[in-house]
Amino acid sequence: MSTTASVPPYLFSQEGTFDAPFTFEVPASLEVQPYTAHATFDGSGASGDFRPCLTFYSASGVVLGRYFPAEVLHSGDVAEVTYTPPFGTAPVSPSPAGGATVDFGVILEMIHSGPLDFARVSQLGYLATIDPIPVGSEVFLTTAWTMPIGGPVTVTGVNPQATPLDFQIIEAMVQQVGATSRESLAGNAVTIPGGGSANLTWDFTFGPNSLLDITTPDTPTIKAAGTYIVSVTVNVS
Amino acid sequence: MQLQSTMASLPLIYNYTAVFEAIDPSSGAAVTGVTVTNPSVYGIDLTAESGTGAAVPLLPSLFVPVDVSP
Repeated sequence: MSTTASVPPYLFSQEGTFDAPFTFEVPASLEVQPYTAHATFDGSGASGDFRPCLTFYSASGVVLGRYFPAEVLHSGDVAEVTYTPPFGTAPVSPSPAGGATVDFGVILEMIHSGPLDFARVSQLGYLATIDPIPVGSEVFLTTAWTMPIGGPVTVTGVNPQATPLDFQIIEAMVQQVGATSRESLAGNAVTIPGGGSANLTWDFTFGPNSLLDITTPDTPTIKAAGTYIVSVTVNVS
Repeated sequence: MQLQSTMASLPLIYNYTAVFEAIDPSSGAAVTGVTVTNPSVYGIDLTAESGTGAAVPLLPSLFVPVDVSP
């Protein structure tokens, strides 16, 4: 693991108070990877309850990801909000206190050549941490593995509930280690019946590179051999 | 009140936007009457690395496999 010294930091910052929504646009010729963000939200004049949200949009206005703290703010609340990358896998929304059950599961797998050669992270309660995940949460998973051409990268939703749940990859990033190639993707909602499981679909790509073959949306494959970091955020409702 | 949220580190290119907004907890619709003070987004500028073949910087936050098998 290394940090390239030639990569400079970049700071979008605007002193003062502004009406929400407040927008920073990436200037021409720049490519920026945000690592933390901060703002103070003042709901003194709010028309109702709200979430202090940081949203990334593509050039065409497609939502790439929404990020907000677990707490809902009320009219009159003032909150200083810091947005940071997740360290480890963690549900964005709070887990129920004292909960011992898993409301749903999400598994990210990168398979190299067989069942004994793969990377897997989960929020299901086995192989990784036992974290109850309430329905309505967004879950962030990330892992890295060396992959051959055609190696599958899959995200599986598991629904132990009695009723159907919708699972959706709302944001994904594939980044090739040792190269500059990156691809952002997202998917449609997949309805999984109670007691079932299914692969989630990767239906849209936002580039800038094309690293995954998503011809078969529920089983995308790596186009070129290499080591990749894959991160996904899954919403379950 | 001090709050913290996780966020993903997506590479954002020209015309992409980062928006501080107040949204309805149920519908996601915009909530009016909220202000933001001193908004800031800190990141790294990848522009110089694009197309150079140089290594992409790997920060610990992107490299956190919770479980790797075998």
